[in-house]
Amino acid sequence: MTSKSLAGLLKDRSALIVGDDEIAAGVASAFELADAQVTTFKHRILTSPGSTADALLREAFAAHRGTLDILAVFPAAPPPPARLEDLALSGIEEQVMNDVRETATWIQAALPSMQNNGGRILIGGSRYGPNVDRYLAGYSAAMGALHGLVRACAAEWGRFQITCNMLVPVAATAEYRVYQSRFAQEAAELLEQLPLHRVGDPVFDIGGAAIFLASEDSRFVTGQIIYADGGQSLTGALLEPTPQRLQSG
Amino acid sequence: MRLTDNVAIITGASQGLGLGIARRLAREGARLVICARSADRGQAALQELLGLGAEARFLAVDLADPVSTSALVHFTLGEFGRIDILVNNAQTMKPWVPSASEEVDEHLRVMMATGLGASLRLMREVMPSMRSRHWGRIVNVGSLNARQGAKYSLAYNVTKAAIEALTRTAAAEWGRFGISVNTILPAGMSPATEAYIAANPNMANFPHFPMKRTGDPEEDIGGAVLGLVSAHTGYITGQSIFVDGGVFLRMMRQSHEMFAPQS
Repeated sequence: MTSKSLAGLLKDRSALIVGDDEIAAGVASAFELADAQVTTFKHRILTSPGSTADALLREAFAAHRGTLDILAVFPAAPPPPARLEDLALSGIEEQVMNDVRETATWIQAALPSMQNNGGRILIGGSRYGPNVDRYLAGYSAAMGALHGLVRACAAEWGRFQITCNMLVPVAATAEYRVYQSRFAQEAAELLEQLPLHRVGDPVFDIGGAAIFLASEDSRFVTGQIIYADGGQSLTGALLEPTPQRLQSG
Repeated sequence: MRLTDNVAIITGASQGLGLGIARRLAREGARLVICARSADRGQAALQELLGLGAEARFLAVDLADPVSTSALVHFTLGEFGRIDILVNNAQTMKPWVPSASEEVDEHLRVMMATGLGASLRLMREVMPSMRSRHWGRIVNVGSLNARQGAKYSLAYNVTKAAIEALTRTAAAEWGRFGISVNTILPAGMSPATEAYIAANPNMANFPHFPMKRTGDPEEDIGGAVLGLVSAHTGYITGQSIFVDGGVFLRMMRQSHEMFAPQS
């Protein structure tokens, strides 16, 4: 996988990417390598006062002169882990409010720029929506809610030839690098269980999958969760036969 | 062109979605081997692909025959020297019958032999060529029927569900060889859909589809396959990807829609 192999995949497409994490940055880099015209937006608009939010939205779409082919919105990173019984209800509410309202705001704002020519909407999701792990209850609730929003958008805006899908990444972000440095053995075991035996590159692996969802290739794929996860979603907490028990490797 | 370095096998590619997939990959410069039971239809499909400028071959085989899969793989390696992409599309069909009918047993045997058995053997037989370059893409064709309680097609539904399990297991085992394996669940203008529309003209505009159309075999279904066999999607594996314009998102018409705003 080289940057050359992405060239031209999103030629003549304009893309607006919202988010401030490494996934959003990786997708933006991939889209640029694919020759899209990319605008990135790092602000969380809803934490701005009302008039500022409106101005920020206008600013974001102004760069595209009325037409936009691709909108990609990535929610904020999960909060520190905490037990469900210890979570403040206000914290859960804030998590859902921030992720769902922010995303819905961007989706609604994009419609006028997309409804005449069709478009691609990608929402960054997390495996802690459709799947779950402990101590992220508020975040899981928000991610599950985002999934519902993605499906509703797909069901209603298909008539404009707009697709809306959720991209669930597994990537070598800063969080993973901290984990790897602190828990080297566990990280090695994780890699061994991951079917592709490597943690995704934010540009080529996650960005590559995002290009699929942003391109003509996926024009009839909508309302889906696409896992760019090296097959992590195939792995379960099942007992696996050890290699010694197999007849051959 | 995106696939000029690649050799692809596409089964059941003489018509319908299989031919659409073959046309899409042909336009990207892939070298193709297609197979089908009917030599006449297969030759006609081959002429179409050659007309697109593709380097393509056709082999008439019945995938129900266990030796057919190795014949197809040997033929492809003989012609082109390598295999990078496999699309398991072929599926013997049987008439729809109630599940209570004893005919289901025979239907299940026949449909599993081609849909599941031949897919598995082809995957196993192309794997060494893919593994040798640490790069391979396998796309299996599933069905929405496998996910619904679609009536009177038990053997088909079960076969297509099995294909998804086959996909996930092979993806988990062969990821370490740089091979991705995914299932698509398409809704497109296949011969079966054409027959349905002929019998139900009120459905011709696909009002139940969010995108208000069914899939074009080449642009929509072939497009998704092209995406999944491309270099940039190698981190997606083991997935079941609906290529259905969102039709599976919805169930039968729900009562609240009677009160919805008109558009």
